[in-house]
Amino acid sequence: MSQPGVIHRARRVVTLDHAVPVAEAVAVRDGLILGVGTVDEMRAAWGPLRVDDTFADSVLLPGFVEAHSHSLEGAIWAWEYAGFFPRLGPDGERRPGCQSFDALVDLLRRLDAELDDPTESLIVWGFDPIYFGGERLAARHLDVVSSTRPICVIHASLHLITVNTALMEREGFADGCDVEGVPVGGDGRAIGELQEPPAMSLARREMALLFGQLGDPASLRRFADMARVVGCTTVTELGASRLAGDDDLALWTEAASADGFPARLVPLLNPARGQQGTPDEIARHAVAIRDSSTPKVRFGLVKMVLDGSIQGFTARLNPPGYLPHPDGTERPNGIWLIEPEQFSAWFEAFHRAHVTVHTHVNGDQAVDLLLDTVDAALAKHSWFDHRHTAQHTQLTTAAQYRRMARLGMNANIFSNHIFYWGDQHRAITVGPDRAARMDACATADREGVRYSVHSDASVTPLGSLHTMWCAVNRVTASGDVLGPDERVSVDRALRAVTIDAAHQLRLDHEIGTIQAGKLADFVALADDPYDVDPMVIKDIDVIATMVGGEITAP
Amino acid sequence: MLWNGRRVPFTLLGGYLGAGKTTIVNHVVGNAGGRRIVVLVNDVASVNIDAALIADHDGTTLSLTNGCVCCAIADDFARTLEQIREMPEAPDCVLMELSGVGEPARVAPWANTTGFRLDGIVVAADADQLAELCERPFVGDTIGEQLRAADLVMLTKSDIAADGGSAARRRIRAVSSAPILDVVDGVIDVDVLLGLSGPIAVVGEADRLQALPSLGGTRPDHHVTRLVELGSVTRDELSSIVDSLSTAVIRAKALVRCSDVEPLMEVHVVGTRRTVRPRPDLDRARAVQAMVVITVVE
Ligand SMILES: [Zn+2]
Repeated sequence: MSQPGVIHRARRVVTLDHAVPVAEAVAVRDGLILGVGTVDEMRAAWGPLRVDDTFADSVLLPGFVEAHSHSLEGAIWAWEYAGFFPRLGPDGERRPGCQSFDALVDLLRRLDAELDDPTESLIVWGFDPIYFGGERLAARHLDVVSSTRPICVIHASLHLITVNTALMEREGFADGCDVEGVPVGGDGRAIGELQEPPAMSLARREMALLFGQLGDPASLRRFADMARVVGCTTVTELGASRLAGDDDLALWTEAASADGFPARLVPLLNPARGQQGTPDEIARHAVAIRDSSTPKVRFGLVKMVLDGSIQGFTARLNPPGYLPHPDGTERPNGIWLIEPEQFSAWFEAFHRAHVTVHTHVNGDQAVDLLLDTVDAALAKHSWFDHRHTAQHTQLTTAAQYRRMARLGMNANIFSNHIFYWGDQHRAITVGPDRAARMDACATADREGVRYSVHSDASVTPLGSLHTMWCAVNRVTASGDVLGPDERVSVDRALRAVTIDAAHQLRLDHEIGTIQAGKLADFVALADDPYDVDPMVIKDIDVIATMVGGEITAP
Repeated sequence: MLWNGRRVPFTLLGGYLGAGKTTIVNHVVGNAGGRRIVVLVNDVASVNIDAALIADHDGTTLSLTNGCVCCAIADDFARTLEQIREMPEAPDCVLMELSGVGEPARVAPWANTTGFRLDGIVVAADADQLAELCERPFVGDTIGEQLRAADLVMLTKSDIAADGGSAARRRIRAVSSAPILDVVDGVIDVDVLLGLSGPIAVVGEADRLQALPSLGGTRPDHHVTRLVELGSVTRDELSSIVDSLSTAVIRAKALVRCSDVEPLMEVHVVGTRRTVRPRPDLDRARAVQAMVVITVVE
């Protein structure tokens, strides 16, 4: 009881607590919420606390909780953004983006001039030429920037890079090579495009720099800064980071121990990433590392990956599977990343140890395997409050949501896909009918499954307002509405990115609503999502966040 | 340039859980005969604690985590290959054991990147289990995809299969024309799995064949090694000789001077994978107008 406490007066406090849904103010002390109500009520209850009017014109909501993201979102901001859409950076500055090759070249020229060491690689990312009318980016476009400095342009898909001639000459493949995914021009020379990770690995130094960033504490700081900028107070790392040894844990806890670290981090343990030992040993480790948790870093949940992605045709689908190739040839089913036997051995060990498991299941066949596995685990060991969560659940059917509900599971639905790939799903991957019921929030509601919605950052940009906007509007990049019957209300979507996200992270007793006793994690918005036209929810300005009662600053 | 431009042969070993991949790998590293083999294990899974079981040997065993080889940014895989590339001296070969659901065709492009040359795809199949596995929910088609990608199939445990493995052979033949080798207890000639090693230029004389351990010798019940004389050939003639090799050929290798092209031509055959490519980097004096061929006895 060291600090005197403060009352934050707002234009409105939207609590998402059913008992007191809106209020004038929220009182905070020692990082916790004392209460919500009018300023007078707070003072009558808690004494003459100071009133802070910083957010008098803002709407305060519970800080957004992103229950499926990756710290790569922070790693990649070690370099500049070169995507099509304007985008906020972790410094809060809006990047205009590159809407033409000329804009890209201008950006590269500016960055080239800023680098001192002439051998240092110039890397940009997020490039997305699909709106440029067909011309492909090639080495010759980049060579005008520098004929000596290696240049590497990472495309938005992360499955393609374009490099300049200087880089190709350094690695010795400018004259072409027999590596798959290195197209050559009429003169037999490589055009500079490196397609898919094996070919991308030819840019040895640049790829090493990218992967090196993942283990850099500065990347976690940028990740949390990015969260602050978009209004998230809690973000997750869904199992892409290794949590095996003490050093792995210390990377997180040390980075987040800095004064004013702007978000809480929830890294999930993935047994397929560097974990040694039997399933029971790994489960004991998953429990043991909870003790390394700090106020800003929470360990203790598990993530596994069963299949691939739908847009990559690697998710596992039930019949009738993917649409055929344009030439009519059949597309094979996707891939498994773990054998069913291995998956169930791990799953059952975690379940017995009362560790909540989040499982990546994009395709409906992967969902079947998950449901069978949960069913078997529950038959052997009863645990009512397990909160096992199906992640992505993009093609999950009503029948599967019914099973999910009966098994007491949660879902985390990839609503951002509707905007970013909805048009492709309708035309290329699964066709209009299945695309219309992809990422089916309304079905999950009807069948009684509690769910969150997510960005899977950096697969799509971090930003809960955009993610909830997708669930509410289901508008694709081309402007069509995909499956209007699966749209949900603003209230439902807002709960999905706050309290229901917290629930599946087992943090709903601490965060996700604004009510007495919870952590003082808020987002201040310029407008109330309930008041605006649902189509502009994604454009509401984020004024600031508070984490543990402290306003986070750049 | 990395390793002076040398590209290390990279062999992929696939097959479902229980197919005997680890037993094969253990036998190979135990009989490496001085070869520096880097073993990659794309499986740290505990029902299949392969990495721990693989015995110490002169080379290096690197574990790969699951999950990334086929998708996303594949950082683990890229990093592991980079670790090999950082070795001051090139290893003699890389042998990668895939996970039980690994699809070799999707991993193969990695085996043909800087410093590496895809040698071949070998898939192990359990003679006793394969027919049932192919019908299994969830993974049946994955096992089919593995077999479809195989240049060479190693049929294991036919000694304990009730039907001697005939049902398994029918399954394999339904999707693949690759040679099928019976492998019991992982015992396989290292040359058959990893390729004919040693300086091929000395392989000129047929009578020395039996004396060269690096040619794998001959097990008359299992496979035979022979020398095919080529004489004077054009590049096209060489290609058609290679294409017309019988489907029982497990491996073949040659360095040939063709009458119509300047660079040496290298013949490299692993089961159904057959390549003839120019090697302008090699001295023409190393040519031998003969091809070493290992054929399975079925
Ligand atoms: Zn993810």
